[in-house]
Amino acid sequence: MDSQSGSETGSQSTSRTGDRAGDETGDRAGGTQNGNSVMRLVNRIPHWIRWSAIPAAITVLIIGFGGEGGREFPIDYGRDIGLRIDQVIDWMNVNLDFFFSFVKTAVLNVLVRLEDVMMWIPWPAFIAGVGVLGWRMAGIRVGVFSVASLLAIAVFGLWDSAMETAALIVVTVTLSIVIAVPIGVWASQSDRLDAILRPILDGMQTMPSFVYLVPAIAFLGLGNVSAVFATLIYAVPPAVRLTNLGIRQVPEETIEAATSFGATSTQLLLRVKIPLAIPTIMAGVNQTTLMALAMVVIASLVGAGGLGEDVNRALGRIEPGNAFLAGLGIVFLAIIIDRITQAFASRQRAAMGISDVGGATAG
Amino acid sequence: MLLRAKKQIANSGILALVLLLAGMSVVAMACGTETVEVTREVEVIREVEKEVAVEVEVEVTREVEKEVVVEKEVVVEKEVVVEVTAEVEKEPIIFSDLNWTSSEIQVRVAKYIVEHGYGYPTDAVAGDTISLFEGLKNNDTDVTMEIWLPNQQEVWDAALESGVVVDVGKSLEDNWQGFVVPQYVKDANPGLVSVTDIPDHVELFVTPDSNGKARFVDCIPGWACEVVNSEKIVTYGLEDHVELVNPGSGAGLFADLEAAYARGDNWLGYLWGPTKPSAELDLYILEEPTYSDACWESGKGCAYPTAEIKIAVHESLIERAPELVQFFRRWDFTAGSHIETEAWMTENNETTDAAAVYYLQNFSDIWEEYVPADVAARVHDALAQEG
Repeated sequence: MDSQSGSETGSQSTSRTGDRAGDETGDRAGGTQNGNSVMRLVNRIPHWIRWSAIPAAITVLIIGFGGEGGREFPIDYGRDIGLRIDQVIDWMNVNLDFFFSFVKTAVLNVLVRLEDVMMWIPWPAFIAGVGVLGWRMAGIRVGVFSVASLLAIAVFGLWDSAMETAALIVVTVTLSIVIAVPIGVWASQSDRLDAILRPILDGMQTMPSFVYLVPAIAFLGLGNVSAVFATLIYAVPPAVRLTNLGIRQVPEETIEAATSFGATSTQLLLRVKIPLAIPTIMAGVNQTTLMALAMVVIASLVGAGGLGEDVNRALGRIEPGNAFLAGLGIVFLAIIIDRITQAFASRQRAAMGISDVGGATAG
Repeated sequence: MLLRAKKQIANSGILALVLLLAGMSVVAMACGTETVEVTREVEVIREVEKEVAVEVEVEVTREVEKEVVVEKEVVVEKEVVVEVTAEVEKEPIIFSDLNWTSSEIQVRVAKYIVEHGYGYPTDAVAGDTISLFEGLKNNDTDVTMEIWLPNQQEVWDAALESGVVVDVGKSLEDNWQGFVVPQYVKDANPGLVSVTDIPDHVELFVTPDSNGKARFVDCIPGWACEVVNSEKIVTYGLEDHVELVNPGSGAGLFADLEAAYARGDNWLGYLWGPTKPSAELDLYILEEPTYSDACWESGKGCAYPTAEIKIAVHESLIERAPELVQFFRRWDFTAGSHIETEAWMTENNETTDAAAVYYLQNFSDIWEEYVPADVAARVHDALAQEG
């Protein structure tokens, strides 16, 4: 619930800053003579005619298209355009194979190593470790919950799957941060980049994942690497957005103070803005992690292992009970990770003397 | 300043919109008048269809126990005309539109015949195996054209027992399942003939993530073939030679095979037909001993038996549309004709709707055989109007 409201305020605030930038440019464009003569002509038409023209035109359209002609758009190039896109994918598959093979091997190596390490840790040590971490970071209740839910996962016989999923999440989230934070920092420094990025991020978050998941198999093969790639597309946007927002929210007075002490713009960014934005950036990391967990089952459709595969297989056999247990495992992982990262973010805020609610606004 | 600019922008927007709408309506007028006539023609024909089709239904329901013969249906037609026109609209027939091409094409062929030949309104609900089987049980759909056994054996048996789902016959009787490599791999390695030759050719299929074994793309998780394949691999002594890769889904399996084929890479894995890759690509099915019950019982060390692909209807259809149940019982759609249709579809980048029309036009000798003459005539009339 907390994380939800965090992301909402995040996107609202970004769009507010964006609108401001848009209004300024609109103002400037309106002032030029360009198009003024047309405007004068339009303005001479009485107001009521101008407004009644729209319903009138719609009526004419409805009458005009009333026959069968209006039920079908006269041309349809959908399949041709689709075929062209397929050809591009085929070409990339054949000619860029060396590049994708390299990426695949690199990611795979990291994944396999990490998974081995996580599987190597004896389960009592792992559970105790997470329990202590939860307790120290977020209090005794989170600690107890972590231990209990990890034990439940083990009792359900899902330990190995859970470790595989956890390894996948760790790699994906790390890569997401490596990609997202620099882009977010850059976007906070450039309104133009921010404006370009916003529709791209919207697209990444709303494009149905299966659309890019299946072509990803052509490049990255079946299994966890395609899953990491697909999850990145879905999980990077919140981290970019919240990094951008966090830096833009650093109070004006703080920046002025730093500037008056002679800080260069690089110093300002690295020593003032980014440190002050850390709590918001951490909220982004938290969102990214939850997004990545949400993708686990979809990723299993291209052969990713772990809890998602358990859900997929149970559903294939029409065993809703087993699917539910594996799903519950994903929920437990999500809650543990969410509570611990949230607690970390609010500790950062507390350490900086920023109030816990509403991000960095209180300054 | 700001307000004025905004207002001006709004004004120019309105002007542009009005001009655009006016322009479009002129075009629309031109288009509209042309098409109206055509529609009228179609409507007239439909009305005729309706009357005839309903008559048949009345007759059949009345004498269903006596097994009405085709000629009799035709003879009685004229006598019941008056009664028929008062008959209520037919309830639509809803097909389960499973998300793979052989089912998609079968559904569209059957839909076309039911709609144009038998005069029922039709619809199709898209989905996957599990959700559509539940849909059939709940009568959200009336007909499923492909229930693959033994992959769905358990749910199928349970549904038959409860009586809500009725088995009305088989489709795609010449289907296959097996372990395949692209034909070019076989050509380059003439020694790779049967599944037992895999250990000698492991190095062909090694990938960075296959632990030095041959990468073998397995069956879709949760399907019966997953268990069968792992038994086969043990029986054939392959467990130390192959690394099983889970494709996650049918889409995953096909995409992996097609991508490897496009690159000219070596590929080894499980596949079945008719499927999109089996129709599109030149593949070699590794030989296995011929199927026998005995070998299947002891470790599945022989080729897959031909899968039974069932057509199922909801029990309510037996009362509601007995002539359609008869139609599905006689249904005959082979993998061979499907592969030809699918090849045409891929080659011309066409939709499954167009493929169904192609099938009806080019394989009329097959479907005319099991469809009453008057129904066939009406389907031909409708086909004549297709572009």
